[in-house]
Amino acid sequence: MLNLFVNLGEKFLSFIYFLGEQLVLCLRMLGWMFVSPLEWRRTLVQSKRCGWDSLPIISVISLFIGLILALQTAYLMQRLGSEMYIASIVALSIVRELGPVITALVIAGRVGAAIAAEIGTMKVTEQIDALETLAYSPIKYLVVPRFLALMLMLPLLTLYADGIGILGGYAICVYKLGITPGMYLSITFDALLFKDVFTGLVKSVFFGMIIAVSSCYQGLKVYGGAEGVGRATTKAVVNSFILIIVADCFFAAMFYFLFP
Amino acid sequence: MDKSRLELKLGIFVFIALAILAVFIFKIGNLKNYGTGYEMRFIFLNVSGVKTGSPVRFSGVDVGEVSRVNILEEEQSKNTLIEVVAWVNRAVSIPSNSKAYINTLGLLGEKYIEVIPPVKYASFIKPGDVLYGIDPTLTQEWIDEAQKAVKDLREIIENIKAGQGTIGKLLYEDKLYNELEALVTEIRQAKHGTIGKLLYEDTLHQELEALISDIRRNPWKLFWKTREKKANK
Repeated sequence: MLNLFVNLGEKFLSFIYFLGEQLVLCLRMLGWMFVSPLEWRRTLVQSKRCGWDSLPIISVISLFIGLILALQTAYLMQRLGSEMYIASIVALSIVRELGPVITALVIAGRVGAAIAAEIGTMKVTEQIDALETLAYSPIKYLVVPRFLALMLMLPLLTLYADGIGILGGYAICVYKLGITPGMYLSITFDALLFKDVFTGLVKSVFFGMIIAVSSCYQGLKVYGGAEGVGRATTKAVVNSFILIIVADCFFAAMFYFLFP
Repeated sequence: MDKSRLELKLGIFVFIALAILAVFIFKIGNLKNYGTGYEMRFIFLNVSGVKTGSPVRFSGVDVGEVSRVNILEEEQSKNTLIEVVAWVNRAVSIPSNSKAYINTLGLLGEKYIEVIPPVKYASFIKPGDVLYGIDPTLTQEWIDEAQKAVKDLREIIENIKAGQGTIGKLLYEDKLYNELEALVTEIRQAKHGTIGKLLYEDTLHQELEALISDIRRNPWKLFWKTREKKANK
């Protein structure tokens, strides 16, 4: 019985530590971000890795999400006899929800894991200690470029995902359900408001921050060799996923009440 | 990595993403281009739910939208009028003797202003001009009309039931029936009178048959009637 409480208390304390450490990392990083010189070169390299290199997988996934969404919506809409509204449902759900979230989840798996593994390996092989001995802040050198890259690239990737997802819905509706191309596009753009695109982009900026901070945090915390790197990678991805979904819920509620 | 290639790839990536954003912005903000149009006003007694942003259609084509709805107190006639200020695309000229209705759009019951041009138009509406609209019939008025009609119908049915008027007497009094029955019985029993003889005696039938067989045998009789008469004389 006592053991149970000790265990629970330990878990809770470690959760509190986790929150605190992540916040400290976040604040230190924000501080270092405004100390010149900014590592432009490294930020660009990270941006290329996050943005350009993730483009194929984002394109494929969002194309298929668009196709699937159109087909699944068609199942109900054909029974109701209103195939016209498939276009608006596909556009709204992709732009408001699926585009940002699917992009964030894919990037968390693809880039977040890579960041945690890379920084973790540097930690294990004492490269980070070496940086510190050279009076180089690992946060400025490693974390800030990744943070900036993810924060800037994720909205852009989300835009790609929105566009390609709508193309997927277009393909199903035009080639399979017999809606004319002009009709599909006009219904899509009638249904969308600028705030739909805007809220999606705001969300994805925050998702980018979440992925960067939790991946870098897990990477910097690694101990105990190759096994530790593996554990950190898993933790980084799992934590990013949970935080993204929870943050998305908050954003959904916030935008629902702020911009009705 | 080669420096120029890195920047080239990132540049292409950012450029295309911003192009997609630009498409979204320009496609979405399509209609709300207040710069290239003019304002006109409609006066109604009742607008049945037209509000800011409701479309204005000219012969069924979307040409603008409502920008304000004001309530005007008319001092002279002690009447309340509803002023609907609408923005209309500059490319559309509306004849000043057009008719304006309030109509319902689609499934969801969204209201819009429908402007129907006359067959012959004299002049066009200038910015700020007023068009007096034809008021929509309220649902309550429809119900009142229907109730009146139902009341009238019910009165007629009650009169018929009470046996008044031709139809009432036909349906509810058996005088006509009795007389008809008496007549039929009389004919059947007495077998006299024109109808009785027609029904019960076969003299006419036999004569007709003889005539037809005669004509069939000697069809020339039909055509040579006159000569026969002459021969008789």
